[in-house]
Amino acid sequence: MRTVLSYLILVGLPLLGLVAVIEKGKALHPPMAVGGDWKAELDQAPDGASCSSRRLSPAFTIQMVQSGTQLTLLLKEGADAELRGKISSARISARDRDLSVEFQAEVEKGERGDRLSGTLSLSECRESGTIRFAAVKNFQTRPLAVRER
Amino acid sequence: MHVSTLLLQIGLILVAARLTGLIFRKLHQPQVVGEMAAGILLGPSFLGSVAPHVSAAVFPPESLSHLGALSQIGLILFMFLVGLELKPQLLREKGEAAVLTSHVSIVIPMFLGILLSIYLYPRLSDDSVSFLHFALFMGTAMSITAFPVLARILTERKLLKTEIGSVSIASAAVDDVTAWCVLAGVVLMVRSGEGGLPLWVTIAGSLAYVCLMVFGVRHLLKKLADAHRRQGRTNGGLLAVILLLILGSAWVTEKLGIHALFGAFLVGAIMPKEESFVNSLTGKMQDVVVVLLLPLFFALTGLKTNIGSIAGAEMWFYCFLVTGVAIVGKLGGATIAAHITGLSWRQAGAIGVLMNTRGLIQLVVLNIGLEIGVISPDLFTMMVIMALVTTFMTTPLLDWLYPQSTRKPAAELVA
Repeated sequence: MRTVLSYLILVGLPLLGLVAVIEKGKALHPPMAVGGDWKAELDQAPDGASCSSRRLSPAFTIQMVQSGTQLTLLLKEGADAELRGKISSARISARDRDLSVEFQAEVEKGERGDRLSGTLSLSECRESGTIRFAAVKNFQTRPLAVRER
Repeated sequence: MHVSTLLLQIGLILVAARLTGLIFRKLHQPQVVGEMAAGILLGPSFLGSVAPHVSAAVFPPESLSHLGALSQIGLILFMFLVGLELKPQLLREKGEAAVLTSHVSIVIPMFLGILLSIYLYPRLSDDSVSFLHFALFMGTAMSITAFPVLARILTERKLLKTEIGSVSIASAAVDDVTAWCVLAGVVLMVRSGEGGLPLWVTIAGSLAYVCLMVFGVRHLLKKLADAHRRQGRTNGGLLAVILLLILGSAWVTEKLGIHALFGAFLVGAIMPKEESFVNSLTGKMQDVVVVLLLPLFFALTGLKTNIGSIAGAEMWFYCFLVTGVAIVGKLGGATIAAHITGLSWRQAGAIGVLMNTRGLIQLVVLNIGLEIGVISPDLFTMMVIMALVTTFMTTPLLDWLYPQSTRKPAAELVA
């Protein structure tokens, strides 16, 4: 009798609670999914002799690794930086460890693919000001487990 | 990719696994804990951090698919061995103690894992994952017990024939089967939304396949055991048939949309459990799988684990929370249940400690979760830390809670 009662309390009750918790959880809103690879293009190609042209090509890739609101951005294939940042609503802000690159962008979800538009600021190239770019997530990629180096 | 890179990788992984395993054995830890730690050391958490150029040269991203394929073969064979070790009579023999302990040690951590998901989902997940999938996966990951590691610890500590040994091994067997069934359901739900087979086809196909294996193929397997008995050994032909069955079953479950590992586990679980047959098969496969192939899996897991990504107090708080909830749910739940069935608090606590061992089964589950995209890379890292902590704490806690002097054989206790 004691075992049956214990079984009902220790197994039955949590099982019921489990259903209630799952129902409650369905109302939660997690951050927007942005993980994956984005193909980015600068709005205006930098002058070949400028400081920013040494750091950025007119086209580059942004690889985003997302864990909830936390983001790691790898700028590669035309850029080279690792940034850490956050997503809040549809706004992404990130910067690298030594604060030399600052990244701000807005995500726009669309049926034809997700788009990103924003700015990059390079502290060592102050004369370039903020550099505008647009990016498109034109292929579905999962948040990468093993980051490419 | 050059074969030389792959050979270099395998060599380095084996050296790291054996050395770390040896060090951990000196610390009275099972070899496998050291091998798990070796994987972390070879990844971005250590090698990639202290010698990034060496790491990039030895583990270039394009080479990892070859290592991944080898480790998948290793995991498929390992899951077969896990299934092979399961003995349904264990549960029958231990009766109500094992039933209550196992069910409570599944349901309580699962409930707490799902409850924790309410807090973690908005913080560590995103809107590409539904709450249901996230919560069910977290619940399953929290309720895992590493049956093979548990069996090794019990054997090494000469606890297998004690009351706590027999209750915990029987409970872990039930836990394993239940966790894999729930996990298969989660994988099925996630993959059905990805444009694969329709959900009803996967469910009906999976049920039909399990029935075919349990009621059909199992009888054929008995013939294989008979052949082994007649010949007195497992010859090459017999082994080839069993390997084909394992790979074939893994292929079917992968095609059905549940994971290849379930198929391999199922073949092991329905294998006849005649001791000489099981020992012979285990002997033929275990060394290559455990010594050569599993360390590759640990290394790949380590390459995906970046402890450096757990940056800042907030992320470490989540990590402590995950580990704490896992320990409270599993250790606490199993301890209370075992005590209710009549065991002393000391014995019940020892069972709780043993059931709390997550080991490499947890790593297998976490890799599936990461692969299907239901957990994020940072949460993956936190759960790997939790698996390491819960496995590492088992032997010292067990020796403290249940020292040699207090151990009695099961028969004596039952009498």
